[in-house]
Amino acid sequence: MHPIFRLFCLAGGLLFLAHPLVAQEKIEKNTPEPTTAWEFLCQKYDVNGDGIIRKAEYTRGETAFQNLDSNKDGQLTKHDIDSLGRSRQRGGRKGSRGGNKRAKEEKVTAPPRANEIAPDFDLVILEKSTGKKTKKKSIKRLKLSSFQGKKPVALIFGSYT
Amino acid sequence: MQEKYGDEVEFVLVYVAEAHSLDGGQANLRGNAPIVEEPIIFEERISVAQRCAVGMSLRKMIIVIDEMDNAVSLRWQAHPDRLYLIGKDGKVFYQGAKGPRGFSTKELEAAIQMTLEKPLEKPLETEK
Repeated sequence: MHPIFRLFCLAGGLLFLAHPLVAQEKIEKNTPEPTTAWEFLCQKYDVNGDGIIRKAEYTRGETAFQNLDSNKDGQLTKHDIDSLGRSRQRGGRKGSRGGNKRAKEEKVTAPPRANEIAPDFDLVILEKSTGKKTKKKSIKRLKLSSFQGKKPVALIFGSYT
Repeated sequence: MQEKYGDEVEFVLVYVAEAHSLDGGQANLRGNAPIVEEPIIFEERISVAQRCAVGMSLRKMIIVIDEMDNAVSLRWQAHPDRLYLIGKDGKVFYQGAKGPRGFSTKELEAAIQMTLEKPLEKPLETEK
């Protein structure tokens, strides 16, 4: 390889590594996983790294921000998040707008009772992560009624939290 | 329980809205509780359900995901969590009380044993 060409390749490589996006990616890969809720929020929203998350930095809406802003001072600090846990342990109802909003929107319908025909549903099936990259993901769905005549079905309604 | 009855009973986790999301107003910050923001779009709920499947080692269980309008969860009055057993005839055999207090795996197992071994005339019901 001609020496000048080698020099160009080297310079190009150095410029590439110095590019802000590449540098940022390297920093992000080296960033440890958050172990606390505050660390999680800072990593995601504290753009200027000053330890305060302002509304302009937060991207998930006013209601969610209000739920986190324990002292209602218009910005999020570690104190707010520490207070979240303490408030709930004391049985406090501060910042419960999210839950109340859901309750208000819910129409109260009687759940299916014993000996009633189970209401059918048709929902997306979670494709379990295999760690392998797949080019195309086909969306599969499941109907509850597909089990009728075959097997009893134990339905577990829940979430990760 | 799935290992014990999985050949005769299908276990399906219906993934619903978070019970204690970080920003949902009912955050649980104790111990090793997972840090989860309330999903805003369906893809986010899928992602959290994926984390749940891995975190709780739910490899064999079918997991379906409720849509963002929470229609299925509302119809079954199942938020934050609830157990049901549906018989082969498509009818509700066991209706657990609403969680968290009413969430009883013991009752579910008893119901499974009843429906598999000895069908009762009167299905098991715990909610008035």
